[in-house]
Amino acid sequence: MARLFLFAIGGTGARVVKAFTMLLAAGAKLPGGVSTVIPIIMDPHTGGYDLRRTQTLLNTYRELRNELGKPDNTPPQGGFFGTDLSTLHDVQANVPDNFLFQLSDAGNQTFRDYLGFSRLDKADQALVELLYSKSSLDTEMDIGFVGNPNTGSVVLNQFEESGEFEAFKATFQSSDRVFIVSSIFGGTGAAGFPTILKNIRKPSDNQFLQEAVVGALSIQPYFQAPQSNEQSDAGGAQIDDAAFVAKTKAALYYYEKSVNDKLNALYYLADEVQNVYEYDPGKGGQPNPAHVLELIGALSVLDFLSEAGGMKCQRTGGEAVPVNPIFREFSLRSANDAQLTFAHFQDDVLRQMARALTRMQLLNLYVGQRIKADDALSQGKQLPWLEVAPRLDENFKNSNFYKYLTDFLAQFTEWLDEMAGRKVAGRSRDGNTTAQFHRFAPFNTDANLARLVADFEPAQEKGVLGFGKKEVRKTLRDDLDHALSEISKGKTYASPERKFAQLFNEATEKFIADTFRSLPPQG
Amino acid sequence: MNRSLYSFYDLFVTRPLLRDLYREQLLVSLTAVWVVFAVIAVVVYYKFLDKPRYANLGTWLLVALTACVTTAIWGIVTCYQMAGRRLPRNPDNPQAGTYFDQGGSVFFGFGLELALLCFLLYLIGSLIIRRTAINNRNIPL
Repeated sequence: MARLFLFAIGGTGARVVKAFTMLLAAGAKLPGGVSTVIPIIMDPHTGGYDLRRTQTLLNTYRELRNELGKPDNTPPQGGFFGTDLSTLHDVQANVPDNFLFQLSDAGNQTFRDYLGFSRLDKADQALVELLYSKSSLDTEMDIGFVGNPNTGSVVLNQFEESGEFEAFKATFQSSDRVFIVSSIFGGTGAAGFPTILKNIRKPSDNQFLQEAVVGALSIQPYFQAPQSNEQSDAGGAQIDDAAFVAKTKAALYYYEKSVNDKLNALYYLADEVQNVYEYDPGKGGQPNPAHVLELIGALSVLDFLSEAGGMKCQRTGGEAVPVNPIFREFSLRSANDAQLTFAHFQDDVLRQMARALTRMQLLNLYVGQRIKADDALSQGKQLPWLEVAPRLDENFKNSNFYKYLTDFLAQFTEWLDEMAGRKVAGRSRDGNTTAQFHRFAPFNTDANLARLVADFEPAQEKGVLGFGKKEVRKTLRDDLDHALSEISKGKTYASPERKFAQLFNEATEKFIADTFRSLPPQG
Repeated sequence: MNRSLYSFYDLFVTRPLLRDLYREQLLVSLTAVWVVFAVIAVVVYYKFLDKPRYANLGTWLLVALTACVTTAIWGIVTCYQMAGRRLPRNPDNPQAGTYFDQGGSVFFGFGLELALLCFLLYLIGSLIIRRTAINNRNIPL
């Protein structure tokens, strides 16, 4: 089975992986026969808030799959958590069991120390000082490369000689795919992307790797950092968004000459409506709220996989040159509205995410409202699906699976809230605390579940005694519980965890098919 | 049919009333009443009320109560109506009295017996049909 090696570089890379993990958890289908995703996150800012959130999410996903695989080690191959998310360690045991690529010597020292500046002779020191500003040289590298790709490209070059790259090289097969996610306007992503690509296309003892089908997502500015005179922390801001556009243009020129011809697919993303996020280089750093652009970025991975089967490289001299590479941008049906819903997306995009995310939201609501608030697990007599073997009762709440699931769903809720702007989400450039960005709020909070999906009007049914028409009303108890009991009738399951996941997968799908008929089917 | 039902009701119904019912050919129709109400109640509960919100013993008992009370009322009213017609037992002998002159307490007891029969059939029907339901399949047991 084909695997996808998903390189995510920098904070933006980590946030796109988070959105991608949400899609996989919700049961989005990976095209092209890919059954395993191996995310490799490269970010020296190991204390970064978003990086830690993404790592936690990935680990929770993996634990959930482990629980679902019990007792016979056969995790689901579809539906909720249906895609294998592995670390490089899972396929090559000689590297750390971690989704994060460990940069050596990047912690607790400045770029000056990393270069061994004090050991250089006078002439070399002068050259280094010519190439790098004082602030770049004195930057602590454990907060990332803070908008300096020229420092990042030096440090990230160690990737070539790392154990992780050796393991990646050793395990890579012809059917495997590579996708690289990075931002182009910062430091880490802009430097890391060409570095990884260069090493993949380099002649090596694994011919498959050099000729690998490689896609990439390059994210252009979609948020702003405070201008240097706005940031009040001691020493001022190390990132100034005034340079974002200039850096983007410079990087695009560079990509055009040295990067684009090495890629089979390149996706560009940007958003003109931008919010200002406080810059926080500290240990808790940079808690950017989730943004719909990151979700769209995750969808580019699915688009790439759907096309990857027809992509190839041909040998020209000693080099592998992609044949007919594709370059894509993304557009909405209408970008004029500040608040986006599923209705703003094209049908082919909806096929990738709409039903999956709606399923996940239904599961989320059920766990929050029926299991936690209504204590549904203690109502076995009233809910026959609980009684189907193996029986589920209140003890299920003490299981590892339930604990991981509630953790994951809490992060899903937080992710949705952040995209919808329901949490503090930065401020606009004029200092207004109201966030100015494309909010994405696909779900309503209406008690009538037939109104769950925003902008999709519920169907009408005949009124009382057949006169007139009234809006269809659906609730978790009357409709989702009914679907769960209907589907479970006469069945038995291998484990309580698998029963829970399989039943909710089928029941939510049935509910959506009955209720939101105009929502395009999952592709 | 009437004869068989007589033997059945003879197990628990007051004999004078039973004889009157037998002579007026009412045993078949009254039996049909509690059987039909019990069957309707079972179908209503396990088909039309087959929803999670009704999957509880309270609703099941409420449906049973409705069927049983209706049956009892039907039986009592029938007896009173027959008593009201003052049908002479022997037209040539007024001293022989009229049919259905046993009084309210006998009619009431008979109504309760019909209600009990209705409930028993509802219970048996529930146990048989509940497995075909989706949400109510664990009710009443």
